[in-house]
Amino acid sequence: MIVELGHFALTLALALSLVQFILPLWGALANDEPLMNVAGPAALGTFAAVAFAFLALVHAYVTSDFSVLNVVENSHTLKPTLYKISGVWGNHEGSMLLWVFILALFAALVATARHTLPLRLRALTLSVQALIAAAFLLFLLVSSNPFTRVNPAPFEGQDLNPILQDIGLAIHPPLLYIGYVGISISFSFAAAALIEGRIDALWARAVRPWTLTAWVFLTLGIAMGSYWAYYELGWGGWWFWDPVENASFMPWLAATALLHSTVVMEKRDALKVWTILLAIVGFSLSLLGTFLVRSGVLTSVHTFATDPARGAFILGILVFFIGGAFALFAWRAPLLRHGGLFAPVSREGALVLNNLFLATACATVFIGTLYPLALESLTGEKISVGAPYFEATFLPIMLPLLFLIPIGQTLAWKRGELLGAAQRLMGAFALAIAAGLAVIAITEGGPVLAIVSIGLGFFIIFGAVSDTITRCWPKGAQLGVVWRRAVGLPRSAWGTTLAHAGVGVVVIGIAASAWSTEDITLVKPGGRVQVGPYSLRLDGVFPRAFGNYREEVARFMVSHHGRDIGALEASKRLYTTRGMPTTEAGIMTIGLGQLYVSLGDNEADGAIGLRAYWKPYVTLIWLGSIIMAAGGLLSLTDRRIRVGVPRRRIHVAAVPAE
Amino acid sequence: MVLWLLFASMMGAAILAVLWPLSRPLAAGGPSTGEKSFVKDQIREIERDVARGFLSPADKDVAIAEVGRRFLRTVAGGPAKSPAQGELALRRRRAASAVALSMIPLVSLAFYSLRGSPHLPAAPLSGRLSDSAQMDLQQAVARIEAHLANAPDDGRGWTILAPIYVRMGRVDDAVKAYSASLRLEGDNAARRADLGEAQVLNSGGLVTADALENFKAALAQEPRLAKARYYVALAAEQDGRVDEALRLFRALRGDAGKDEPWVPTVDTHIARLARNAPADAIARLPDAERNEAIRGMVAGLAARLEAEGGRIDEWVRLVRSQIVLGARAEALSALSKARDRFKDDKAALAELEPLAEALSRPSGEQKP
Repeated sequence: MIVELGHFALTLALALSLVQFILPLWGALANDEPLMNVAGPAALGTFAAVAFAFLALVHAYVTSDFSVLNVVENSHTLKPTLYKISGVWGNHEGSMLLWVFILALFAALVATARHTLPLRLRALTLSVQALIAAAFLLFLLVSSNPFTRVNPAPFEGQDLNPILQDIGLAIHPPLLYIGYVGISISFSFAAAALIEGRIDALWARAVRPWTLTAWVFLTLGIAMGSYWAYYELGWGGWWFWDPVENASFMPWLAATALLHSTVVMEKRDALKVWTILLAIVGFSLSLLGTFLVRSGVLTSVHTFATDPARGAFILGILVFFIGGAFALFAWRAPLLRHGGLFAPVSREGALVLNNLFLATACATVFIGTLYPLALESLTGEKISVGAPYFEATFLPIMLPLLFLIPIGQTLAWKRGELLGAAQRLMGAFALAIAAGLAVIAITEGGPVLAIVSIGLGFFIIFGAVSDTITRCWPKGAQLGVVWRRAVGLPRSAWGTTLAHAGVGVVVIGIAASAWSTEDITLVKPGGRVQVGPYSLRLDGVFPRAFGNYREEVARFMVSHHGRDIGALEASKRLYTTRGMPTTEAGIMTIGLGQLYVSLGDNEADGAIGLRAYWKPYVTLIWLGSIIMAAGGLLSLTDRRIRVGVPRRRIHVAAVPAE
Repeated sequence: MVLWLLFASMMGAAILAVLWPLSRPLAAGGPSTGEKSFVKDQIREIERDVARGFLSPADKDVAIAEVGRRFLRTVAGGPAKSPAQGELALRRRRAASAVALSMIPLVSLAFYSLRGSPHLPAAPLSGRLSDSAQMDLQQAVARIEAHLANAPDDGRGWTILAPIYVRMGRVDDAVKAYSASLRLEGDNAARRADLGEAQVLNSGGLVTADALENFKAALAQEPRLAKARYYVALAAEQDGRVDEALRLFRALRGDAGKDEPWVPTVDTHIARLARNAPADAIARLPDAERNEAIRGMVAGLAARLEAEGGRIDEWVRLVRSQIVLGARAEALSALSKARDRFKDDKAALAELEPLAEALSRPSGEQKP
């Protein structure tokens, strides 16, 4: 009965979101307050209905209710309870339900944030958000219904794809979806501003926390996905420029640009049209990602079922929203009031540069991802655009951008002074050079690009820190004053420092991969393998059975300069129900580096094939991402309003339209 | 009944959520709360900045004036509020209520009726396992498996395990268990048929040669065994021997009792085969009538291709049929038409080539 109630709740959610689309839009156009007021309760109602449906499906999974087709196809009574729950979104239908759930959650949050938003903006935003929700609910109910029943119920389920039976499935999709779907709110705000025909600092202030939330979760989701692929697939890499990865990376680049342009808009009332465009582009890219991943155009672990009808449906949604939004943009954007002017050398000038670089980087990823697909569908020719393309195009754009981070952060608003900024950064730059030299000394050389990148990473970190120091420490100030200023510094400034330092940490982690070592070899029990500074001794290979899989475990003893430092286990699993093998890499974190062992085939003479890697400082890649996200969160807690302080002499530039 | 009451109450709650704001009395006019609180927040922020020393007191007044200017611009730029009372507003609200009242039930019930199964009970794991035994089936299976690992010659164990494997979807293991049961417990018709069925499941529904052999062996011992007869008929259907399959299924249906559970399945097969069997019906006609019928079909095909064009394989079939029927002149004419039609298509012309060759040979060889 609960399953049917969940199904009905989903249809009710569709009905409510249609009401939520029509009445507030009508109310906003007729300027009728009661009609606009419908948006809030309708959004909360939609959320309650979708949440109920979602919980009903979770309940069916937890109790192994095999009268539900979706549960039969993706669950098994022997699966641990955690994977029964995470299995809810480990399939096409359930993941789309999670998508709609988060969509409705964001709408409900906007509905409850009543006092920070003007009524009309809120009504229009919720109306647009409801249209997106309605489209996806329709998709769910018509072509991907998670509540389809089977009668009679089979006795046992078909189990979940073994690669997905991992703690990663419990974390990665929800994080990524909050990020992906969170951008929809920025999109809805942009569409609302276009419909209303006006946009101001209040709008920027309203959008900022949502974009920031989406960005924080997108950052964490991508980092988590990268780490999961790293330890589960057994290839030893953490980023493959795979189309599925790019599909999440493009919205991230757009969201990063949006984040920075919103700051300019809030503070200086400028870059309005561009910000609107970025919000539209950001959500368009996340819809594109959904289409690429869910339609079966790409084959990967994310593609749960290839069904042309579903692909066509998502393509329809994609074309409708992207096309509609750009049409709206072309029609209404010229009506928007343009904002203030500013000097090219200034904080806002640097942020424009940042946006240009990010947009270009996003475009190169876009081309590298879609060109092979377009070529294949037009001519049938298969080409592979891999790391070499992205290294040749993406890196040259990113390196100058990274170099500009500390400089932009040091420039003042409105009118900066390049020389002053350079002087203030001298210390950071000198420290970074020293760090680069130290690396050369310790490693006795290495690839030039890697050494430069390490210096760059340190430059970003020191630059971020030095900017904060100069802001709290006026020349000759007493310690008490410094403390007061540091405490008084807005949390968003601390967030900026933290997030930029996180970028520096990621850059160092990536650059350090130039020093990783790899060995592919055969080893017999008792034999040794040397990787980097560590030595692995194969102690033995033994079988083990657990729940729904059997595995063959190889146990190694790791030693450093003849001293044992711990055991490491790598295994190959066979999931009995699906008869599918998986490789579980053995990973030992030593300091900031990782020892990574992945098993290959067994040989007749008892030897096992293995790939062993020593990856120094590799964890910095993910730690840096977490630092970035933490910076975003810190900034999110700052509900401060940025007020530009107009000075009399440039007053005209600040308010040109009057 | 309970379910429908719950549906009704959920729907009621949804409708109320929408009607509630429509029925509320209105607040007074003027700029909305959001705009006012935004201005207050901005002024408070400026004062805080002054207190922290980020802003000089002289700048404070300028900044506050700037905030005020922005606010005035916002209020002036916004559209005037339409009157909350009055005929138009009232009519608008009534229309909105009507939309909510009609749309919510209509949309939700329409979409629910597409895929909903209100009559189906849930089948959670706890309900599916028998309560009296309170035994974890998986554990029982594991125990029997462990026992059989030590005593693989215990036929009774295999016999118990085999059908459980089938229900658990482990058909591969089921085939092994049925084979062992057959070997250890002795040959009989039912065991043969069960083994065959497991083999069919294991090959994804295809009646393989091994499976067919088992069914035939079962029928040799017990000619009326329904399961074996069903699969033999299915084998005929899968081999394309439509007529034989239809005959076997009909015979099986004729012998069935009134409430055998497999009767609907057999009926489905019969209906499908009877639909697809006109060619077969023609084959049973007396010679003269049969040729007449075939000529009629070929003439029909010729007329259709003449009128509509058709694909190359249809033309090839037409020419070949006419050759088989001995209608040489008509075949030649059809061939030249086909060549004319596909003159730009090299692949199609190549397909026509062997037919042209056959027609150029003396007529004696073309007899069927």
